[in-house]
This record gives sequence, C-alpha cells and structure tokens, in this order.
Amino acid sequence: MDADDFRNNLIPYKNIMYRLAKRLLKNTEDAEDAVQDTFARLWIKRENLDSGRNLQALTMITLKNICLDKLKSGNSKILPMIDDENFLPGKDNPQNQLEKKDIRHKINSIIETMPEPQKMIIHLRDIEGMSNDEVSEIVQMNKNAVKVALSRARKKLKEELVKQLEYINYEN
Amino acid sequence: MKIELLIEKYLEGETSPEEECELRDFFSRKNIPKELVHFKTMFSFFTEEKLIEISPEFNPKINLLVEKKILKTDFSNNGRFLKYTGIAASILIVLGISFYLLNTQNVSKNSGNQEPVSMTQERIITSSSDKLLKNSQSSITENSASPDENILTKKHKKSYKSFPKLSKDEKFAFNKTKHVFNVITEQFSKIEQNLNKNNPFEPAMQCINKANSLENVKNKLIQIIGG
Repeated sequence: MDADDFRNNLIPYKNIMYRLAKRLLKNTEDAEDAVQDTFARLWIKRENLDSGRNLQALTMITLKNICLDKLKSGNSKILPMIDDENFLPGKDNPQNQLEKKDIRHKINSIIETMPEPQKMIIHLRDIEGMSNDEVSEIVQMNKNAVKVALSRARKKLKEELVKQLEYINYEN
Repeated sequence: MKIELLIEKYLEGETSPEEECELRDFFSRKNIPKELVHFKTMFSFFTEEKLIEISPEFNPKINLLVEKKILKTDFSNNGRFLKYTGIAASILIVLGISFYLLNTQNVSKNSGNQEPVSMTQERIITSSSDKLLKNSQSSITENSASPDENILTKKHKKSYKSFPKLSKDEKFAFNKTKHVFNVITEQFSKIEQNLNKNNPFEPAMQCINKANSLENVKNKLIQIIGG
C-alpha cells in the first residue's frame, strides 16, 4: 500500500474512529491522539496492508487496542466529557435545543457507566449501524457474547432513559 | 402491534440492521405513542451522535504523516520509550561488565597462570605416548622416540604462540570497555564529591554537635551544683 492508497482507503475512516475513541476515552484531545497513533501504527505496517483485507476492521481493532492501552496505563487525562459540539442546526428554538443537548449529555453519561465491551458494542451497533458480524470482529468476542452484551446495554439504556425522562417531566 | 414486537426483538439484541432501520424510520415520525417516546429520544440520539466529526485541524496533521513521512511515534505518550531505553542501557552495562571480566581473565591467564598451556602439554604428551605405544607395537626401535619429541616441542611452541595473542577486535573491545569503565568511575567519584560538598545532613549534624556540647555544659553544671 502506497501513500495514495493509504490516503484513499484508510484516512476516510477517521470520523468513525474518532467517535469510538471519544466514546472510550471521554475527551476530544485523547481521542484525536488515539486516531493519530492508529494511523501512525498502520503507516509503519503499510507494506503489509493490502486492500483485499477488511481494512475497516483492522483499523478499528488497532484503534480499540490503542484506546484500551491508554485507559489501562491511566495516562489519559481524566477530564469530564467536553461537549464541544455546537448546537445542531435545526428549526428548533434555543429552548428546545438546550433541552436536547441536556438529554444528549444524559444519554452519553448513561453509556459512560457501562463496562467497556458493552460501551463499544452499543456504540458500533446503534450509532455506527454496523452488523453483528462486523462488531464481533472488532471487539474480538464471539457473536453470542456480543448479542448478550448488546441486549444488556440496550435494556440498561432504555431503563435509565425512562427514569431520566420521568424526572424531567416531573420537574416541569 | 408489529412495532412492539420489533422493540422486543431490539432489546434482546436480535434485530438485523434492516429491522433497526425500520425502527429508526418509525421513531422519526411525528406521532409517537406516549409510552414509546423514550425510544424516539434514543434513536434521535443515535443519529445525532453519528454526525460528530473530528476537528478540521486534524487533517493537516495526517497529511503531514503521509506526505512528509514524519511519524509521531508513541514514545512520548506512555513513557514506554524511557522504560525500554532503561532496559537496553542496563543490558549494555551488564554486557560491558561481563566482557571486561572475561578479557581480564584471559589476560591474567596469559600473563601469569600457565594452566591451559600445561593442560595442552599433557594432552600432547598422552597422545604422543599413545603413538609411542603404537610405534613400539609395530616396531620396537628407540629411534621413533626422537621424532615424537620433536613433534611435541613443535606443537607446544605452536599452542603457546597461538594462545596469548588477542585479535585486533578483541583488543579494541577491551580498550573500549576499559575506557567506558574509567568514564563511569570518574562520574561516580564526581557525584560522590558533590554529595560530600553539599551534604544534606550537615545542618542536622551541626545541631547534634551543639546539643552534645550543651549536654556537656549541663552535666558540668549539675556536677558543680551537686558538689
């Protein structure tokens, strides 16, 4: 794989990589570092990469390992999730947007409390829309385990969300 | 009805991506039954999260990586670099020491101790005696002894000559390790001197000395008063 192949086939994964890294590392800076480290590692190995292989899975596995290493070493700056995403463009008035942002933040913190595999699985399945096969390849777990973890994560998310929404309605 | 079944399947993790698309479509509509409103929130959260993108400042960094082939390796990140250089340095030191010791042993053997030479001598003698035996068996003449003696002395000379010489490389390595050791000992003595100069315990020692002298004065006073 030469520089052009690298640019055309691997770099486009940067956003999907960034989202997973941010989900795991909880802050923008570390997530960007993880993506960069992943590209650096793949760049070194580029001679052995051919476009026939499942490059997305390979990229995501490399990224996942880098993120988990970072978490294990405890080196990541444990900052609270910074919501640097601006308000999404839409017809909603600012009041509604504020509520939406608040609810997004709440859902993010629900997912944050889950163990790493569940976090990754619900992220890849529901946010990225990957199939069970793709997810099980990336998280390196068998399909059944993925299904169980996914079910647990979804149920937990639903229950917590119901609680939160009840609370909000009660306040209003 | 169908949607509730789908939700059930969804929570069990058994829906296919296509069925999930169906769910997503359903919950993007406006009139959602009140008891299912949390799913609408959930699915719209999922779609919104997918819109997050890495900052545009990131692209130049990656272009740098690909075009100029400048790599930001993870040396700085995990402190691994330091760890590994530490290990490498200690291995080097151990190798250096062992090399040095081996060389000095060889030198001492060559200069004073002639054990290996005597051992080779012994071997030669035994082998030659074997030959002698064979010779005596084949033809009992005393002449055969003298050539054997010649062989012995020749061999002895040869083995003695070949032994003490260090090859150029070995000499070079020996000198290098010696030099490294000299530098290390120098550094250590410097550190020792520095430590002696700014002894952190000196103020404490002075205090103790003062206290001791005060104690002496006190004892003397007690003696005087007592007396």
